[in-house]
Amino acid sequence: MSDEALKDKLRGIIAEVSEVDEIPDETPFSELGIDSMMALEIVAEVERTYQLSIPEEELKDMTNFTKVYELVRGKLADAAE
Amino acid sequence: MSDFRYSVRVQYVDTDQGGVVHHAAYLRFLEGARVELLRSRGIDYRRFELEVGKGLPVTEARVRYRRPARFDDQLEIETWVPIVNRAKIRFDSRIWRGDTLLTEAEITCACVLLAEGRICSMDPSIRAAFER
Repeated sequence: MSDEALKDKLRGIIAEVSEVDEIPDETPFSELGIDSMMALEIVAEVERTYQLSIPEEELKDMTNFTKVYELVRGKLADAAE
Repeated sequence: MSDFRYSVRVQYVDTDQGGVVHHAAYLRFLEGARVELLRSRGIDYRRFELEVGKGLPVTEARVRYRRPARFDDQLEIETWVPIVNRAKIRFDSRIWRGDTLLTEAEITCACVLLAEGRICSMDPSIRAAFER
C-alpha cells in the first residue's frame, strides 16, 4: 500500500469514527472534538483493519493524524519484514 | 442475542404520577440486567472494581419505549452483548411483560481506571467473557 493510500484510509477511519469531516495533519485530536473514547475506537478500528496490535503505552502518543500515520506505517513495515 | 434473562417486578417507587414506570427507572432495570449478565459470565462486578481497579461507566444510552409497564408487573429483561472491543462494550436488551415487548435498549460502556479517572482499553477479562 502506498503512503498516500494509507493516509487516505486512515483519514477515512478517523473521520468515520469521529464524524469529523476534515482531519488535518497536525491539529490535535482534542481540538477536533475527538475524545479519549473516540481515540480508542479509532485504535480498535485501525487494529482490526490492519491486523495490528498497538500497545497501551503507545496510545498516548497518538494525538494527531501525523502521529497515527507514522505509528501505523512503522508497524506495517515491521510486520512486512 | 442470548438466552440470558433477568427478572424484575415493578415496585411502586418505579412509577410516576401517570401510573406507569418512569422512563429513568428502566435504566436501573437495565443496569441490574448488565450486572447479572456479567456475573453469569464469571465477572463479579463488585470484585472487578475492587480487585482490578476498573469500572464500566455508561457512555451512551439509547432506549426505545414501546409500551408502558405498571406497578407490580413482572418484567423479563433479555440482554446480550453484540459488540465488545478495545474501546467499548455494548449491552443490548429487550424488556418483556409476558409476550409483550415493552422496551428496547442499547447501552454502551467504556472501561476506566477508577483511581485515575481516565479511560483505558477494555479489560481483557471482559473481552474474554464475551468473545468466547
